[in-house]
Amino acid sequence: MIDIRHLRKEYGTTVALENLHLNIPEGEVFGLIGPNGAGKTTLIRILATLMEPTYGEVTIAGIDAINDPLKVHPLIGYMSDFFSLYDELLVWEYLDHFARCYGVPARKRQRSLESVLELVSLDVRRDSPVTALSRGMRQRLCFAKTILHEPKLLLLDEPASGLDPAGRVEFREMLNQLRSMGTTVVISSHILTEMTGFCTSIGIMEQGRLRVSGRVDDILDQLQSGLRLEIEVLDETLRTTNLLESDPQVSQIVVNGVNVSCRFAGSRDELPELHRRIVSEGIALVSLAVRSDNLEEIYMQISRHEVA
Amino acid sequence: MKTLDIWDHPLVVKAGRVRYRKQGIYAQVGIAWFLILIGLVCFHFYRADLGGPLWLRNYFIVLVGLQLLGCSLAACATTYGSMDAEVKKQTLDFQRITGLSPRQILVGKAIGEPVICYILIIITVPVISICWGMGGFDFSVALLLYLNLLTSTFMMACLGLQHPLKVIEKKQTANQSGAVGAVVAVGFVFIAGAALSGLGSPYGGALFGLLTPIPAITSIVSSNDPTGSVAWSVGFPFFGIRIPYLLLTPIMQCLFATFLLKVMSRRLTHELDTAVSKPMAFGMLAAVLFLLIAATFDLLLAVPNLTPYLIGFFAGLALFVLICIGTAAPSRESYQSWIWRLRGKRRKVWDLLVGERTLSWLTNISGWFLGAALGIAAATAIVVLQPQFLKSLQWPALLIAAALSLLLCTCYGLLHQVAAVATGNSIAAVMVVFFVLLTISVVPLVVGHVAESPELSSLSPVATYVQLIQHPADYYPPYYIMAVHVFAIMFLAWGMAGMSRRYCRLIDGKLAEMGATDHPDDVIR
Repeated sequence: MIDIRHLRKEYGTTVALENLHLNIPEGEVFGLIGPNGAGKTTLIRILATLMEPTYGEVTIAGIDAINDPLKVHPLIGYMSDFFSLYDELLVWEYLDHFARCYGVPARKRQRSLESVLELVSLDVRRDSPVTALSRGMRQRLCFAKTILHEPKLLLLDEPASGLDPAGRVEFREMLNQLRSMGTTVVISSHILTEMTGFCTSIGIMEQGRLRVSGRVDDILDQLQSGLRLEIEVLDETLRTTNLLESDPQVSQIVVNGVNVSCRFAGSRDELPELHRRIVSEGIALVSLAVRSDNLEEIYMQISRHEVA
Repeated sequence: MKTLDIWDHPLVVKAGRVRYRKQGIYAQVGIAWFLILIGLVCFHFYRADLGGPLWLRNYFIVLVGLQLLGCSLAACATTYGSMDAEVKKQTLDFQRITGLSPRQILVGKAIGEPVICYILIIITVPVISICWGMGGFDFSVALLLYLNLLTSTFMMACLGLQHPLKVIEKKQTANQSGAVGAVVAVGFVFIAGAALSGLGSPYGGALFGLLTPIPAITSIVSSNDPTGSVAWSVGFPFFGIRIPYLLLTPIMQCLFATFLLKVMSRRLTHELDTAVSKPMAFGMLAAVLFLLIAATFDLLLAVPNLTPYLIGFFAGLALFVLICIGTAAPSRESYQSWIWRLRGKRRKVWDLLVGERTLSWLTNISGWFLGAALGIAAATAIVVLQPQFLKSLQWPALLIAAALSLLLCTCYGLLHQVAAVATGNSIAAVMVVFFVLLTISVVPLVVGHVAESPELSSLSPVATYVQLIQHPADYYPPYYIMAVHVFAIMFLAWGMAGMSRRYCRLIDGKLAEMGATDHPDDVIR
């Protein structure tokens, strides 16, 4: 769906994006993760054809988005973190305006409008003025506008910023519905919990560079060079650490109270042997568990430059 | 959405919903009608002091004049205010990525935002019937004046759409900045146009007269004709044929509005493109010169000697080229983006001549030759019609005027381009050229006059052209001014080439770092 090659964006002497390559297949939910100022918004604005890159190629559904931006517009829905609405309009008028802008035929307009209002749970506020909406409702209305014309690609820039936890859960449910309909979604956030369990692939950005990208499982496999172990002992962490350090397959040992975490390069079959060694040393072992990495841990590893 | 259905246009519908909720439009129309009727009653009551038998005509003209001023100001201010608010709130971004093209967005704004102006013009049309029925005012003149009002409002609305598309951090509100912009724009187009157009000479303001209905209105006011038919006699002198402004102005205003829409559409599509493309700049230059030649053609047939006018043409040509082609000169960001992305995608000469974002020096020179060709063609036609002119032509003075014009055009065009790339600011670049031109025109003139040194005075382009016009057979040879400008061209060209080389090296280095081996430079050799 999206193919980016050698993308670069400079603002004067500042390099916002540097030599970015990215391929996002159709139907994917791609999470752009990174701290503020990493270049996420710049990338999304370039994809939305609102900004021209300094260099590079951007193809959306086979169309050159830089040279033919007008051809790309019907395919995309864009939502910025700045939920600007026309405050003078009523909720239905706002959606009707954008339905007209997107060229939704008059006979279909009313139906589309009602269905998106229902999807974002604003059907009861249909005739309210936009100014009377809470921040969460404004965000949902903006989202309703974004999906009104059934775009093939959704570009969401920090869509849940400023929402309360309940609002985030609701928002995630809405996105899940879209994902099930096969829409490709690019969503940026610096709040990792927003992305966990939702994105099928991710890209981690830092200082304008895409440090890693791909399907979440692939990245986990790539980063998990071995198993992450959590060991709990009874007040004998020093002996445990010494024992683990003597094992060439163990690395990244971190002590946290009575818990010791480390990375084990061997296979699961070799774990009973490690277990036996700990016990045979007379260490009071409470538990030894294999933990799986989540997005937050991947991000922290990458931002600590623990992976190349 | 391929077609542009004005009545169902989303922006027109939205503007209507925003502005005229709760019957607001009926209140405004009611107030307008009330004021129109009060005005009619007042004019009737004081008719002895307000033109006597011409009171109804005067009432009509005052009404049209007030509507022209009010609607132009309101149209310009509302469209600018709307653009400003949408840029600040980022809602324009949402519009831009819908199915509407930039042109559709802009047309929607130009019609929707000042919709009350169009309505107020249309609802006063019955006044035509009153003035026609009771005062015998020419129906066709009245109708065409109303058409002029509509097109003037649309043109000013399009002028108000020219927004920098950047958030300007000022304390003033969008409406305030819109109002200031509107006053400036109306002041320039209308007041200057009124001062120049057709009041004294039919030639002085002919080009401005094309953009304002003021010549037609002033002709009615300055005559004792109660029917207003005199407006038919005021027209643009097109190769000796008067085309009434009443007919021509609406067409020219629509064309100018289309040009303004095109300029803004380009910026909404590709932010780094120059205000006008190079082919558009050539077209603009050719159109302006053609109209200028057409307007003065019959005047030139009757002059005693053609030489001073041709010298004046070459002086003006340099200025016209600088203004028209200057709009196609890229700023730093634009030029750098050409080096990054567009370099090598066309043949080099063709790219310099008509390519997007390329340096404008060759376009400047080509523009000058295009203008000179038009001037020479017109002069040839005049000489064919008046063969005695051929003998009186002062060839050395003409050649010097032409050569100096080319030198000035190349030199200040290059200066503008260097300043635009070096400062990265188009307005700063224009100011640099303006101050350098002003300085070189005034300082040598004053110093030379005080020191009684013709050598110093001859460094001023203005003094040189004035001398050539006044004494085409006995002028002070302009060697110094030519030498200074040749040296300046060489210096500026060296500077520009150095700057280009530096940017190319820098960008090539970055491209190599990025491993972008398929650089467009590889496409055409």
